[in-house]
Amino acid sequence: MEETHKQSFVSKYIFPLDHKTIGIQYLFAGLFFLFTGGFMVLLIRWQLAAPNQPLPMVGTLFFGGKGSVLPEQYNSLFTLHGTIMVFFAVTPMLIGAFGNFLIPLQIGARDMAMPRLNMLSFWMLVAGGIIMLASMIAPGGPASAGWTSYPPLSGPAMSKGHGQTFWILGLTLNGTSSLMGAINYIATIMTMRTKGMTLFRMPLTIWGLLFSAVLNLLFIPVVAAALIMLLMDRVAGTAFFAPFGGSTPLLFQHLFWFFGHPEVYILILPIWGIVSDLLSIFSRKPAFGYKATVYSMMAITAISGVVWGHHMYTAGMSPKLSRIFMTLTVTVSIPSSIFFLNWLATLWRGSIRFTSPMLAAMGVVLVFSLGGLTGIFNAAETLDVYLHDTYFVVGHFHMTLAASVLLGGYGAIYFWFPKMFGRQMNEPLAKVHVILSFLLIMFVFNTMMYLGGHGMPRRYADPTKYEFLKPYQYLNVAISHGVLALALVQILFAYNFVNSIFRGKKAEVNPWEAASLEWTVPSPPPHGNFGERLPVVARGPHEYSLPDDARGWIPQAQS
Amino acid sequence: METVMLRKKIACCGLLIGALFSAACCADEKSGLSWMLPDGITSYSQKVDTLFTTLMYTTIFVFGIVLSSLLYFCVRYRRANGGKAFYTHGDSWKATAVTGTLAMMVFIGIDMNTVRLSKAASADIEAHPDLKDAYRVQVVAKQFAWIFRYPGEGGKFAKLDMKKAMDPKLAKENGDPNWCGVDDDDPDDKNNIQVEGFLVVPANKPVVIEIRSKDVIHSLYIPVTRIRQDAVPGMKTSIWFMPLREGRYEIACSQLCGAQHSQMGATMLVLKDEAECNKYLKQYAKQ
Repeated sequence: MEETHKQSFVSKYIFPLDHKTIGIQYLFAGLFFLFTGGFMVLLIRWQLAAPNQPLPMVGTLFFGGKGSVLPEQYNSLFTLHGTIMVFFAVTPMLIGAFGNFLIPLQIGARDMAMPRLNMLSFWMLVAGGIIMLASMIAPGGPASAGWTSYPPLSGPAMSKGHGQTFWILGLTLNGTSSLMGAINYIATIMTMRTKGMTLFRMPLTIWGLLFSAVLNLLFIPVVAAALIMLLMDRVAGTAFFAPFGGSTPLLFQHLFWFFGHPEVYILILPIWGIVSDLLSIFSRKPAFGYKATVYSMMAITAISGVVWGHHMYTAGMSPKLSRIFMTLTVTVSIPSSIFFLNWLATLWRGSIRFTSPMLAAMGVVLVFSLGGLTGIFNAAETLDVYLHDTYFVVGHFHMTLAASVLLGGYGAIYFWFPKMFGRQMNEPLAKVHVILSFLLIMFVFNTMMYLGGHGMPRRYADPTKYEFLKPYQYLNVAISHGVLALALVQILFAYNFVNSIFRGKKAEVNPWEAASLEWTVPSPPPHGNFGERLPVVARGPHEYSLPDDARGWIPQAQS
Repeated sequence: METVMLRKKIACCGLLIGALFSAACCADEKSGLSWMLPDGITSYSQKVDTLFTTLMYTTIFVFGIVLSSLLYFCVRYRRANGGKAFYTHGDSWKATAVTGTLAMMVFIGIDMNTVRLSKAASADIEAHPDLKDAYRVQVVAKQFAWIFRYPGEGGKFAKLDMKKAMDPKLAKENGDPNWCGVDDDDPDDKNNIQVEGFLVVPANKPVVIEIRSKDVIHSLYIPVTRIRQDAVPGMKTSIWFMPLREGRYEIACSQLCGAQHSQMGATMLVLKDEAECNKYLKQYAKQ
């Protein structure tokens, strides 16, 4: 209930219990790590475009010696890039920031079910992030066994430095944070919806966040177990993943990927929900096939738990087992096609408004379709044996996951910024940013897949030793230029974001004419969200373009 | 009117997907356009390339439909003057049936076809000729090189004990960085030939390779055969293939194994026949 206590700066901004403030904390943390991980990409791409050449001006500062990237440093760069992007950038931005900010607002609650747990989960993420950053300067060198961290390479004999140990600790704290968040989200969504807000009247954003939280809840404990077993092998002399004596390194791979595959769905489900809502709002049309979309997302959530072996076709599993995983993997195409077609059908016969969130959502439609199609190449067991560990896979997962999440995340920020900060962002600048980012994303990751088809392996500090790759080194140069351009374009976003927080024009209550509950409260919403009385919901979240209504659309809550 | 248009569009989609499916069924190794893949040198590689090519066409086709639909919708349905869209929830049985049917068509035409073509390639592996007389090679991966062992005269391999080879004390005692745990008094060892970096195999004969590792997980990757198999410490994995063309081809490591992972290459020499191979390997035999 609304508390009229006076809050100190510390209890309002550092250790807040208000879900909106926590959400914004997550957003800032996520953006910080997004730029950190993105910066690492520039260093990686420098090495690939100009192998063993010293980086001008700052090379000696970053790499020591003559200023070029050393192979072990290169391995650490892509290790930390992957880890930071997946766990410290995307997870906090999409799940932490938008989950926290939107769930109570969109379901008509005053806050999360457990505000203290919420606050703790954020600071646990920060603790994990600090340890992860510290791992970069740990004695013995940072982790360098890939974000997948397979033993024995990540084990005590082969990764002797403390960096790998810190990496495990940082990630375990991050996982704990996500687990706390998942519990909170599920409890809030299932028990704190306001009167009239049935499950099938929730915005699809909430459905995406709900399924994502369910996957988090089920699968993070598995990777936590794997990580703790690896930690024990490293520091306590155990032999969980030893090659002999009844154990096997393959066990780690099974445990890791058992979580690792649902993890990619954890990251993308919120985006699917957000894009479904954005397409509806800016086509002024109900989301086509709302129920079918929900059931499809549910089916994908379930299927995601039984396909992990498709990351291990070359690992030494029986080919019979590989074929079972192949068959299960391709079944995900059915629900995916259904909700994807529903996206297109939402646009069909709509009245489309080309705002920056809409452009971003349409960008997601395109990159996800392409990324999803290239997934079929990797699902096929025999073809994947050729493509595994090449740049085809790198291009595939960046197109499917990173591109969708990036474009969708930017769309979400552009969309909810007015509500979060009470100010408007610069719309023309936002549109330019989205369009340029989309074009560069298409260039960079399609070229990567092309390069991978030629056979270039991933995680290679220097591919120029091989005759079969020499003719294609120019592609590495081209990709690096594309990535540099993509990074520079993000300056448009960074400038827009920071400038608008301080100097943006004041935002109205509902600048986008959207029907969900968060657009009925002031921008930014006050503590307690809804004033004296909670809203009562009378209809679904997408009642746009009603034929008989002069106003054209009706908000969810009874007006 | 709208329903007729919709039905026509669905019919067109159906015909196109059906055409694609039929074309895919007829795809064989001569359908050219392996796009970006290096030339394959086995019959298995041809089957893999067929699958790749089919999926390439499919991807371009489907993405083309998605892109053109999206662009068409953007132009056709940009904000109408009245500002209102066509109000429908798309929750009717008809709507669900349409999307469901299209999803099933995609699944059957693309996914099931993919599984079929992948299994056809697997069948190539499973229908292996009698491997009793195959040409055998043992590979031991280490940081950062590939050790190839050939039986030599007499045709028998010495017994490898990777547990011994990975024991730091025993390895230090032995002194040879390429020691694969072979007993000093193993009678077959004096005929075996151990070479770093050269896989020498005959053309037109099945080759069986046993893969082991001395330290971390590596992966034996021979692009022209389309084969890749992890070398897992504590395990012995096997592959076989039959090269149809002589030549000199490259091998690369394909599982992150440490700082010099990208420098861990090797060469595969496909020579005319087994006699040529034995002649070539004599230079590496123990004196």
